[in-house]
Amino acid sequence: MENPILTVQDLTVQIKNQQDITILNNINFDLQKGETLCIVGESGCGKSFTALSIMGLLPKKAKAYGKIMFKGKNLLQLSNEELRDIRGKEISMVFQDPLTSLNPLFSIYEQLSEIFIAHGFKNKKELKTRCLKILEDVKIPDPKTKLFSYPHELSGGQRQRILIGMAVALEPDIIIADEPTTALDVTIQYEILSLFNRLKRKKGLSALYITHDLSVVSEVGDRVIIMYAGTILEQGPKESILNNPYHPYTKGLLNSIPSLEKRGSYLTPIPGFVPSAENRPKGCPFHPRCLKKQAICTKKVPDKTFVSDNHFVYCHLVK
Amino acid sequence: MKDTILELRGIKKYFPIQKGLLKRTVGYIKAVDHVDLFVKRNQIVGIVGESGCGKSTLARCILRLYEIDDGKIFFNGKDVTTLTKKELKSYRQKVQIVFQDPYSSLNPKLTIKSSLMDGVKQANVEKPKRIEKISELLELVGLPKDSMHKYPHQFSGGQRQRICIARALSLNPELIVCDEPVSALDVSVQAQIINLLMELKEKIGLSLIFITHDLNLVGYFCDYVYVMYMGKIVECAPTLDIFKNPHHPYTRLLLDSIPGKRKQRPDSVFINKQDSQLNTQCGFAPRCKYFSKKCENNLDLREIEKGHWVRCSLI
Repeated sequence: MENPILTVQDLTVQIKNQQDITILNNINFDLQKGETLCIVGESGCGKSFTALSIMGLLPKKAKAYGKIMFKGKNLLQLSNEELRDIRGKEISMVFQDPLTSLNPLFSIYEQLSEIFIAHGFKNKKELKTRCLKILEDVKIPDPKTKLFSYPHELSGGQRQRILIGMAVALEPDIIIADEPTTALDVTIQYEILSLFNRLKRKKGLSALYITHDLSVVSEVGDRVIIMYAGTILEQGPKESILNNPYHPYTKGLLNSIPSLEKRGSYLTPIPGFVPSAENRPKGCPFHPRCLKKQAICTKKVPDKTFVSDNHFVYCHLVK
Repeated sequence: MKDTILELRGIKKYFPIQKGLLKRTVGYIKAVDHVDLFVKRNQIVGIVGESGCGKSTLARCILRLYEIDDGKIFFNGKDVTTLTKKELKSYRQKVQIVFQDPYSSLNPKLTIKSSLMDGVKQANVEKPKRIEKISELLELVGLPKDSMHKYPHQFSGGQRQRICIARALSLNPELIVCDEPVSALDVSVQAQIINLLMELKEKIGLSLIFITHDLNLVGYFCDYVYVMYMGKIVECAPTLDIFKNPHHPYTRLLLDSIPGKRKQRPDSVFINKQDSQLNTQCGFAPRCKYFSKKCENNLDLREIEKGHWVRCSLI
């Protein structure tokens, strides 16, 4: 591909304990300018760790290897000061839980203006108009009074809007959203998704959207990465993944979604559950839960197989 | 009706708003406002609505975990609204609840065996047969027998929810109220739990009240659906009717918001006017696109087709 804005190469994250636990194992992907890349998987697959390593927010015990290239710099080798300049201004993040991501002791204005001040903005008068503009951007009703309210006075949807507003305030190049709608109702979810799409288009952002819900992917994504147990299992364009999946895990995820059409028959869920990071199996990481497992699956990690130009899968069954 | 297992008549639960030093009551939050609801034997009844609409309060009212302010609950034709504490025990044996969060609804200091034992004792199982009963229960929900000696932290979310279901089943209930039992779980695990509930419905003839905000789920496995908004039922109908032919603007908004299958953009206009300025009893009016003069009319649930009831003045 031509001109990626972010390239992740051989990203491996380990946690140092009595024995080293590998959380992420050789992750490779790139993010093109203006596209939305979705990372999909169950909890405990390493989706959030991928996001945290890009932001340089990994816990102290974790050690990241490999390369994350952004504008010619390797993010993994930057110092804290250098990272602080990038965070918020060039890469920003929206977290899952809008209830805990805002500080309950400070007003919305104080928290919004902090971003501008932290990045060297001094004119106090303009600060307020800038903050108001953010609230208008994310369509908060009655922005003038809401600006001086405290987080508990706002609903969950409104808080998530403010967080998205904060994330795009300095017009970053990349926005990383970690399950931003999981805690919200369907109606609010729709509004947040359309807000996200609108802002992305308007400001020409690239986005990394992390979710476990494949039905959300159909609303926001351009390309999809399916992750499982710290590795990538399948990657391809959205339509191709949703309509024509190859990996048994992707198929299982799609089959698990209940719907009106599937009434009257049992769902076909993926048996078992995600293994913890300490006891991940040998060979293909998915084999203990795979219904089509063969002898080779338990021994050898499958190679990358291209099924079309930009759709590939790691599975022994796909030839 | 003989096959009606649970019948709610005009259930009301108002929470007082108290202010000041003397805790004077200055108003009420109408969490559940005149709800009528029927559950037939071996049926799955869904209750949907956004958070804060009173779904969970209603669930607690059904089990009489909250004292209701008005209305009657009939279980198998018997009035259970006025039961004393002692009599309640046998009612709660037949009606059980599974909560949303499997992480906080199991006691972390008790083994699974002792968590289940209380229910088994209540169900009058003789002492030597109790352990056998527990392993039967675990088998029924698809867990290995030896898990009875483990503690909750050794299980994943989906497994814990299975344990909660086993605990509810330990009393041989006729009706289980499920309060968002799968919304904290991953899709694949969610599908496992849903399959389990369907299986139980067929195997032991259970009736279920299924509270959720996920319309995909409702469409998949509920027989009858109640749509709730601000403490009131705004529409109720058999599932297929409600999906193919929704009448209330709120139901339509919910259906249009399902990701992935959107036929049209949901018309979610949020602000018409402030509540107080609207001269209507309809709680949905501030968000309703079709709001007009007609909405000032009286608002009752009306039957527009057989079994399909709507609370909207425009229809």
